[in-house]
Amino acid sequence: MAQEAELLPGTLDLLILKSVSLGSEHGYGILLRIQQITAGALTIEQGALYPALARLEHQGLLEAEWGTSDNNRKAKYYSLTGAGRKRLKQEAERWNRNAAALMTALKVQEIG
Amino acid sequence: MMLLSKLRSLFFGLRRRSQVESGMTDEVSFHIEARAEDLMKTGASHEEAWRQARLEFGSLEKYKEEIREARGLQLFDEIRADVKYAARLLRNSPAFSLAAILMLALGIAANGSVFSIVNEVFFKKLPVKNPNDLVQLDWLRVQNSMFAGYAGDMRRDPASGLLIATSFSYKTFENFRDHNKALSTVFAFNPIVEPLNVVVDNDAQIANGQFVSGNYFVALGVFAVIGRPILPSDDNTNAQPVAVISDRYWKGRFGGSPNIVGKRISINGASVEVIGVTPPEFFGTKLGKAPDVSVPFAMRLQIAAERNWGKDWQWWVEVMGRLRAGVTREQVLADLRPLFEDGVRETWDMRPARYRTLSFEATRTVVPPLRVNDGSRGPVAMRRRVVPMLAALVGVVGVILLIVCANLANLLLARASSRQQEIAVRLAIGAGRRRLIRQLMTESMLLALCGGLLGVFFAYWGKDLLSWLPQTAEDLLAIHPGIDWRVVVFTAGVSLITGLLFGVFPCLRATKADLSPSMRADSNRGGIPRLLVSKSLLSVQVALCLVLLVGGGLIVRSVRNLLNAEIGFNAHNVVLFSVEPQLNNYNKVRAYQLYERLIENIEAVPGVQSATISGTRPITGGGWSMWVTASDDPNSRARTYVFVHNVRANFLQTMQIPLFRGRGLSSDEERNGASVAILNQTMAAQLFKDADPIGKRFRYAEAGEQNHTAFEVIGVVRDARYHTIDRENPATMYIPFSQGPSSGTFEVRTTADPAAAMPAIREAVRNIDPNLPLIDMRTQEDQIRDSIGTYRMFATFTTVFGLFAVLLACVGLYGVVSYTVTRRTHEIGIRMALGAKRSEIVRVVMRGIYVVTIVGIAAGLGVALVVTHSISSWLLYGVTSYDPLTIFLAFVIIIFVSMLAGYLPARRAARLDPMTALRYE
Repeated sequence: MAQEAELLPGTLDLLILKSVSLGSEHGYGILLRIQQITAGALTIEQGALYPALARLEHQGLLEAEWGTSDNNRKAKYYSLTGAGRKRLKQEAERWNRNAAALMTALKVQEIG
Repeated sequence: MMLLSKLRSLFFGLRRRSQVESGMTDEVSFHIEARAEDLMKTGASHEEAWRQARLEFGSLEKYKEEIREARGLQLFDEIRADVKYAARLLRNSPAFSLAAILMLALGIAANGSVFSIVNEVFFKKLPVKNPNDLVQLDWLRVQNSMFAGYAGDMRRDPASGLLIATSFSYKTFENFRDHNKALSTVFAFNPIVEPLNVVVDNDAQIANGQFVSGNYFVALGVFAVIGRPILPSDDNTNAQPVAVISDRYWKGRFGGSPNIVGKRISINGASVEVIGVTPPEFFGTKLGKAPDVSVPFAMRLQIAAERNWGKDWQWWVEVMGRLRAGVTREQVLADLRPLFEDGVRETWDMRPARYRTLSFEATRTVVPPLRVNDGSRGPVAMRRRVVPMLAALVGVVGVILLIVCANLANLLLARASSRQQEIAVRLAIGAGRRRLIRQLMTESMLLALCGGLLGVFFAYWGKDLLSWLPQTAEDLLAIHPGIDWRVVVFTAGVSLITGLLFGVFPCLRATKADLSPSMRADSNRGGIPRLLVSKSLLSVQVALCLVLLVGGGLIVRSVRNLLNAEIGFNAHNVVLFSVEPQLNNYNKVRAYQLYERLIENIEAVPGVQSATISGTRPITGGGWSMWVTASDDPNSRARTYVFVHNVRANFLQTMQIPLFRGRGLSSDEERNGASVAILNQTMAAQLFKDADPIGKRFRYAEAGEQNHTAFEVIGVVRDARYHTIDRENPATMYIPFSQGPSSGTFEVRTTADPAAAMPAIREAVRNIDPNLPLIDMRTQEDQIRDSIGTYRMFATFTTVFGLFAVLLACVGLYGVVSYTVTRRTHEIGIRMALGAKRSEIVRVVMRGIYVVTIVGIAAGLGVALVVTHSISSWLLYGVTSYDPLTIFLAFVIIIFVSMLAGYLPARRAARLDPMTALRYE
């Protein structure tokens, strides 16, 4: 069953970028990291990861290279490009701003 | 930045498609395997782990597709599939596809050809270096402008209502060249109006030429393909006379001989060395006839000899220049204006005695305003003239394309209807509407693309066909045609738009949301609104056909009227040719003797009845006109504008113009240049009203001619045409030949076929002087035919396209009616079963056609009348723009054709077997 409804559009991209910023990784590894970062709070159907990765690579935010995994299998490793790093920073800042504004608004309401 | 990366990724994806696909599979397999292994580590069995991993992943195919979409490959795949499918469909109905592509090709080719003419005239820049830096000078002829003689173009400026003049005096040009600061170069040229006699290896032929300043080619950045161009050092009276020839002249007259550089030829008797050949795409700096030879201005005295232009006090030179970097045209104007004023005044001071009468001077005191214009396309004189003609051409081919689109839209509608069930099913199982539309559109676009490609070929080869168009149109086509990128872009654009036009409506209709009626077997419902659209399209086609037929019919009748016009003289069996003995340095006296000998020789040729000569060539559109007055009072302002024919004594008899009163010219009078004249009826009436003109006198009423002897009227003849067939007979006077300039046209009346006598006549001339070129020898009838070239061109165009349109409409009607009968077979079966007679069935079928035709005719009539009214002033002759006979004929043709179109399907309907029809679904 698709759980994408729980995920706001764009958050998946942000999560991917954040995971990859911690170090070059293959798709499965990125999934594990996301689960780690979000402490399991956000769930997605695993396959949905790959279109997102393809999109980010298409846009030039990630670059990919074939390599060998720990257990000697062929895997595709993704890493951040300069543009990707910049986008990550921008998006993170935006989220923080929005969250702060929202929190202020909610606080005000509480008082009133 | 992102766009770049996307493009790069897409490009890579397309090129290494198989790699991308296998990569996707590998990546996804790795993921599932890794997950399965992790699950096994936590204790699941091998099968359970794998099952779980796959479940968690989700649908492989779905995500693979999403990956493809994310990489931009999806769209590409879909389009490729659409094209393949469309190609297959078209291959499966070859008749339809071929017909459609052919129709499209013809329509697009017609538009492409006309556009390439428009392009040549309006858009293409001069094929020289940096044409955008060029400026062209002209001036506005305000009242009392200070000039004494002018040779060149003048055309009206729509903005100010004044005439725009492009010629300057040579002195003014020198002023500009030597003293200006704003232009990096100033150069000049003069397209010589009269033909030059060019003798090459003892063969005399006529050629076009231009004078150029020494820096002309250098300033334009035009280099010679062989030899060298004219340089400033050549433009010197002490320099060796040289000439540069055009590529076309080199290939035509000299056979492209490599020994051309250094060859000596004679131009108007002056010996000249050919020093170079210009590139093929160079046609001079003025639209129209490209000069065959270019010579420096310094040679004007040698070549101009006994001319009426080229004098220092005349304005006859066209001037252009190149901007310095960063300089605007306004700055150039400010810089040149004082130089212009000086030049104007100095030139004015050089005028000859006859322009120094007080009345002439008192009125001319103003220095006219100078203008500096964009010169990237050369002077614009010719353009304005052809705008109405081009506009009409564009209209006609545009209409044709519209008809083709309407026809194709109809045919596609019919085809889409027969695929209705298939489309409905596809929509029902989930195909996106947009996707389906895209696929249907691909079919139309594929047709349009094929049609467009074929059309480009047709247009390219059609260029040669255009050469049989009559001469007046030749001006348009003299500049030649290569394939310009603009034409290619235009044709591609037209193909695209055509494809959209005829494709979008049928496919929108076909994919309408309301599916259930179509899916049911009984699909007669929902059929009626569809037919309404088809019928409307057909009516539009019929209307357009009517416009073309009526317009074409009127023009054809005009041509016939023109050819049969009462021209006042007998044009049959007459050979014309012109001579200009001044080119060979004959003076007036010797020229006269030459003519006498020529006439003697020619009349001795068997088959020749009589030969005569006149100063003006009949029916060329040119001539000699003067103001005359019959009043003795020198201050009288009563004057009449008349045309002058200086003729040999036997002219009137040879041309068979009847004499009404008095007598003709006697040989003595003619030889002595006596001041006698014969008037035509119109002139007699204008000058002398009802009084008998014989014995009365009149004189020229022009500046500079006041001292000319008055003419005595000795006879009156019937009116005859002078310049062109389509203009009425003007007031004309016939005076002795020697009163006019010494060049002339011979008219030779033959007893039998005039064309057969031409070689003998040529021989007779050559026997007297082999160096004398015969200019433009042809029969009088051909001359007349060529003079109405524009009419004939349009008559041909509209007739051909009119018939094409009618054919299209016929096919369209047939297609729709046939389709209707097929769809209503079931209904027809019921009617028959209930007792309807065959004739009734036929009537029902034909009723549809009647409606379409009548609506089309009604709508078309209004448009046709508007169109014919707009062309009536310049394309119609002798018919009104609403001529009932022509309109009636057009109606008849259309009605006949539509009956024909409906006949076969109606017959098929009437022949149906009721039992089969009832069972038909």
